[in-house]
Amino acid sequence: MDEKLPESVDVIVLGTGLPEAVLASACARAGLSVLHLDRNEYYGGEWSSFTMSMIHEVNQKAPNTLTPDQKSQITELLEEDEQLVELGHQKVLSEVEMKWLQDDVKEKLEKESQMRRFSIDLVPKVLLSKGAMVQTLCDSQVSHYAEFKLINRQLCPTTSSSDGHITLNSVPCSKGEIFQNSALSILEKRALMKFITFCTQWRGKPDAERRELLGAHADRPFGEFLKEMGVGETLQEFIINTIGILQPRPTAMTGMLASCEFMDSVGHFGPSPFLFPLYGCGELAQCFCRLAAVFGSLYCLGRPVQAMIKKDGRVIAIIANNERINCRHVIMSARFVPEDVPILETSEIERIVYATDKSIKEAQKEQLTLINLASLRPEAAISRIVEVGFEACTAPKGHFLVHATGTREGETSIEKVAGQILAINNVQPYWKMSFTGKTLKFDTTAGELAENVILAPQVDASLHYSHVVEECREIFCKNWPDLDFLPRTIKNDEENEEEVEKTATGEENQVEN
Amino acid sequence: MNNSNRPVRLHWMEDYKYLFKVVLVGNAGVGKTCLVRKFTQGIFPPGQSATIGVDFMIKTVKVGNDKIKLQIWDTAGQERFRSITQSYYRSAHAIVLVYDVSCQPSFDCLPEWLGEIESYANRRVLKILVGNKVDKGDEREVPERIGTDFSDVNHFDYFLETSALDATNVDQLFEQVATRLTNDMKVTDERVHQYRADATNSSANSSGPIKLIDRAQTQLNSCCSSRQ
Repeated sequence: MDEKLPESVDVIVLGTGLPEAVLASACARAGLSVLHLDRNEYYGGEWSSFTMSMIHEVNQKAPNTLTPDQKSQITELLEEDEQLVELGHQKVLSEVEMKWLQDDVKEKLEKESQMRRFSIDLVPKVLLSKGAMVQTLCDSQVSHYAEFKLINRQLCPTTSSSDGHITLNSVPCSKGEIFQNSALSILEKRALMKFITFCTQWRGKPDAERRELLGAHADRPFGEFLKEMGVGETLQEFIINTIGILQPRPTAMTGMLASCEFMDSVGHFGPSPFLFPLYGCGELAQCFCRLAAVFGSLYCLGRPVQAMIKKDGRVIAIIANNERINCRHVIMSARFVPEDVPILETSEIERIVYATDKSIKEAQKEQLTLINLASLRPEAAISRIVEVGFEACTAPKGHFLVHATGTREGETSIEKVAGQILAINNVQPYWKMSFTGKTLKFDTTAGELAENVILAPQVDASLHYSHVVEECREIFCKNWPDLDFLPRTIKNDEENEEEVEKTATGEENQVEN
Repeated sequence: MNNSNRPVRLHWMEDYKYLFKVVLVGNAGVGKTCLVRKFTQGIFPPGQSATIGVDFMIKTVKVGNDKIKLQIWDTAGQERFRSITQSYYRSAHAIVLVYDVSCQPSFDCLPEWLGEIESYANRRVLKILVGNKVDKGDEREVPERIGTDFSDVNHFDYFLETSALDATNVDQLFEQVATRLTNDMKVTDERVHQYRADATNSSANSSGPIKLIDRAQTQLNSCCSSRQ
């Protein structure tokens, strides 16, 4: 029943996660012939979003290594001097657990067929309004395929020194918001405005001068520098919390850079510098795949991708579903890396997702919320919460997904801190999922991977997409130095358009008769 | 000139009343691309060559006195291995499901397509069923009656048999889409106005979704204006 795959292409891309999708679209856009395969029946791999009814798919299928029978069948496809290398089933998600905490809610959601209205992100990230991702989306016109909402609320947790009670205060982003903010005193507002003015001036200076301006503080903690600038302790915490979401543990130098990055993006689409994709982050990978398809890339999901064929140290073909497809390059996600390639290092990201029917902090209108939890988990580099619901098309009306993300350092788990945040407004989650996302660092020096195999970037702990996109760009430019990475499309929409007007009659009976 | 922060979207909205996203689905080879090309460009593309780089076609039609833009999306070949992205269905105002009247298997696949539409598309999306290639006369495998029945049973909003080759019902198809969507939208508009009048303190928070095109457009406009 399946159509046959092509015999030969320029590039085979394995895995449909965001980085693979970006690279596939860049290749297709540049005129290379691309075949994009995934073993999963769905797009996005470990970057995907799932409905509540499909979330069980997140459990990676048990690796079906080749049986001797299959192997001999495949070996028949090989020619002289060719070597068969079985592709891996690397586990990039582990300890996946999910559980309903309130069965009555489950029944109700099922009855109202609301389960498909959830979009549960494995990697909840945001876009910086002036960051590399937004730029790439606009240049490539992938922006046509997606819509976004502003993350319109950034909350800063403050722990009372007397009773340890945590309160969540809104972070003002724009000048208007600073002016209206009730948590800051007039003096603090003045100090904050002074700081912003300093940032604006600092940003305009050449690199060398920037460092000079920070003097001896440049590589000291950001807080010390702020203190030197006359910023009081409360405001220091506030600024460090806000900026820290972009740059954990900032020094004066990295803190200033992050402040500029933050302020650069403020006011671009609204008061907040951050955007969230409607229907969840998994949409982005799909949107890039669509662009690749528009430029001729062939898509095939749910294919057993079995092995690669090597000759003289290069990959010359991929075997999928017992079919041989010749190629010049292979781009693969970590999942496909052969099992015998040594792993140097594994870094882990802890993830907890709660489904709730009440916001962390209720407001008149539903908000998309971001919280930096660093102050509650100072030992860990990354601890944050993203809460998105109906407004972001990721949950039914009145429901929310609370995404906690954290690196593993220190004694306090991200789960415990997330629990504290939920407790503030007495939020009782009715569903919970937890898992560990793994980033595997492979030792490619030994040559187990051929020189024309390109490893796609993996999930990182960063809040936004700039690093991923930049990494994809670098990889592309390194491998195809003569080609442009997703160049700006000059063609305007209107070019596709025929300006001949038609008059619809608007009367049904005329046509239906 | 330093332009104010006025949303650019409003600026290019002036030129038409509504813009609707119409997506086509159905098996490979049923003639989806041909229908779109016939309607938007008046040509019947010969051969089966995929149209590289064409994302969607836009065509302006008139419904009554209103200028309506139809943004018509094709599958970009992703249907070949049943690998259409869910995001393709998002925010579609109308979905046109196409089968080939001379190809029974393309009709037999309709329930699968309906399943996808139900899973990913907006619940209130306008659903249209189209039996294409009626020009094939003798080779017909699916009688019109069967198409009508399927359309009725599965609550399609409209059913039509077309031929992209000889242009039978092609214009009617898209004109129907435009007319029905416009009429629906006018009703919604009235409701929205009513709602807005009720909600006195609608802050900047009550923003609609953001399209990044606005920004690209801003840049485009600003560089154009600086040149003048």
